[in-house]
Amino acid sequence: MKRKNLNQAAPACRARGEKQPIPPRIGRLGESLRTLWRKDRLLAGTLLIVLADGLLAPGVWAASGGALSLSTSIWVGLLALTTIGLSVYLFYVMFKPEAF
Amino acid sequence: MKLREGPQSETAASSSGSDQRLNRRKSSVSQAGLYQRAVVAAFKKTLNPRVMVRNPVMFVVWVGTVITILLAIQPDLFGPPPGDNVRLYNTTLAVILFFTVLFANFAEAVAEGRGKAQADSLRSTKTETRAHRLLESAPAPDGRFEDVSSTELRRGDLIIVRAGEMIPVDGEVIEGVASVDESAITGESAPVLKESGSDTASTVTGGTRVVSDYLIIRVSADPGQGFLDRMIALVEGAERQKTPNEVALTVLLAVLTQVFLVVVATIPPIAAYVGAPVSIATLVALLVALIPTTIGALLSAIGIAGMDRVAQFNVIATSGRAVEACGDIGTLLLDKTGTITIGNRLADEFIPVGSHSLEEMAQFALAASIFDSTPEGKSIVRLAGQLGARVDFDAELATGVEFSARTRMSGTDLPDGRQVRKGAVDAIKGFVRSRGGVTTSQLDEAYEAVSRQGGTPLAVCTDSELYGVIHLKDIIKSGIRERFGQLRRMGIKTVMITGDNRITASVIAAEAGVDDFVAEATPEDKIRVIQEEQAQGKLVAMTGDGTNDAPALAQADVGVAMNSGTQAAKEAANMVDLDSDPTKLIDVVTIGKQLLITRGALTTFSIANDLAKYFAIIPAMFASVGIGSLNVMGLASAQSAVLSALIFNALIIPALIPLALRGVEFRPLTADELLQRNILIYGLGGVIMPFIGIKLIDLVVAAIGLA
Repeated sequence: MKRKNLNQAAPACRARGEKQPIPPRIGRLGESLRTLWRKDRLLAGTLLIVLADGLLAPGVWAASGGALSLSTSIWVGLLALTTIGLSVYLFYVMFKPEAF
Repeated sequence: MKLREGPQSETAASSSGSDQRLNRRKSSVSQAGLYQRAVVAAFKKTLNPRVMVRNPVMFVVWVGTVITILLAIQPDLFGPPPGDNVRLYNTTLAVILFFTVLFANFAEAVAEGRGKAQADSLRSTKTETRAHRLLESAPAPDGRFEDVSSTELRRGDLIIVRAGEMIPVDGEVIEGVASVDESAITGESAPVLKESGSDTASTVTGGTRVVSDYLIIRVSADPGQGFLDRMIALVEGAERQKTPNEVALTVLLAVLTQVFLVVVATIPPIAAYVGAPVSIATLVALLVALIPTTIGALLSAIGIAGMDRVAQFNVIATSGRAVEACGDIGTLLLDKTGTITIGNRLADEFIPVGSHSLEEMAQFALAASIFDSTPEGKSIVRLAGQLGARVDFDAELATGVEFSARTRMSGTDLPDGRQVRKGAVDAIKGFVRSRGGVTTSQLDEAYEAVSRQGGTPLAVCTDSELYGVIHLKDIIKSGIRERFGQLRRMGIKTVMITGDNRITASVIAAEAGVDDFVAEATPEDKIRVIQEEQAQGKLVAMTGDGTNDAPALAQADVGVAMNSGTQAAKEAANMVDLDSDPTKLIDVVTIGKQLLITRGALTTFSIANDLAKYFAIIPAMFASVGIGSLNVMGLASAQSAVLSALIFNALIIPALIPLALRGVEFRPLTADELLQRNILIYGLGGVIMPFIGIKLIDLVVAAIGLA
């Protein structure tokens, strides 16, 4: 099957004033996440936190100057995300209390 | 499906017998196994994050529990922890936090369990029965019918129910007169008379039993939509939604939790700076100790228990909002008859006017009341009989004229064409004038004399001739004056509504101690009074039973319909009194007040508690950096302080469950007095009690070497 080269298509789209097409793999991932969010918000949320932690943990490890191990950095990143998540949740409760 | 013809002696309505009749009276609901079920339900709720997320404060504790469990398994999960015996400390914290969440869910499960127990008792009343559905559109007791299941009946179907059979569904009596045992619904053992044509006695409820004669009933509800179905859904809490006060309190608790979350999250850098690092487990413990877990744990249970208390009073509320509104009621509209006075007014005296003798007066009073089946009418017949009056016409050929709110009179059309009437004096005067008669000053004097004694005067006439006045004596219920005094102290205005004249109404109002009265009231006056009071920003409560009360019941903030009332009244109201006792409105208001007071008291206690826990934990945690002098309780160590505060925090929840379910003892005090009392008991007590409790627990923790 012949695949269209998206990198080549992008400048052409911009020139025509059209939206740049989403690469198929990212598009499929986004669609899968949306489906998961609709089916099971808890699972989707957990997955998003894990993905976010994948981005955060290296930062934590770098900030500690190597004092923390990589696994500890992952857990600290997860703790930070949990705290932020709780804070967002509590703001949601404040603005939409009847949902609880 | 088999067809039958004619009356059948057998009991086709195959109810499962009299053993199914459950007495729901007051607190008779079976509580067996309630606590075992509550423990199981509490575990299920605790292990389900989808359930936990609905309680913001306890969800934060739940997340903290998960984190401490992870730290109990792997103490250096977030880096090397400070202190000794970290695993034991973390494990102990995890256990305490788990039990904190469990106790909170247990409180809710117990409250829910009590509602479910009531629902079970109602459900056992509601069994699938066989019903005789009439095949002809014109109802007749000997008509053809088919036996069908009660679930096959639809609104509009006609059924016949005979003595000994259970009424399968809700309906309206369109033919027949029968005694109905409603004990399964109301708990009242005495059967009540049901008949067609009556405003209040023509509605029947599924699950009750005909004990004599027969009834032809038009089904008024489709399967699953009946009164019992709605009651079951309500007491089970299936339709329970958060009340406005609960929503407001949820926001307050979320704000407090957010503030303390930020405070605790910013501690580690400060602690590291001053050289007193704090472990993540201790931070979780500090957060849980500071957020208002006590009220967060009991909030839902208090609301459910409020509904349950109303249900135990044999009153079914359509929502928690209605029960809560009772607590904020500013004006109570009370019918005079049945609420302030004993329902049955009795004829006490005949006062003839003009040239008429007492005997003549008695004779026409008897004639006017011969078809009157009300207690008042019967008492007139009785008094006339005692005075020697006899019926001197053929009653078969005479026609009874029923009382109506419009004409405000009733009577008899005699076979010779004369019209005998008795009723409100103004109405009778109008009747006499319309037939060319004249009214006398003697009538007005008699009217005033009766009214000034607090009695109800009824004038008697025949066409254009006035005969005199009947004195109907009202008896004010004992203790009602004191109850109105209590309501006044609570800032509730009482308004008596009566069809009586102004003088009688004012005398009874003064005797009963109500704040205001509306005399010669029509159903429209009720709506007017409610709207006037609501325009002043007050919440209004009233009772009613007739179809003409339905608009006013819908307009009122709290409308209590009598179970004996019409379907329209029940649907318009937001509460139904199964005992049909209008006096209960006062009790329901008391329960509503108690609900609000309990919630306020426990919120005060919870927030006051947090202050003491703050003083217990922070000085012990930072003793090494020179604030040890703030450790006023002299707690053994930082770990011991944290454990003691958390153990106290967990134990106070089950300790307060009975208070949350029972409610704070109600006292008829003004709002200011109540506030002072609550601040003193639950505010000051909430500060002092944790200091003592935490110190005692700390002694035990130190003694057993837990920390």
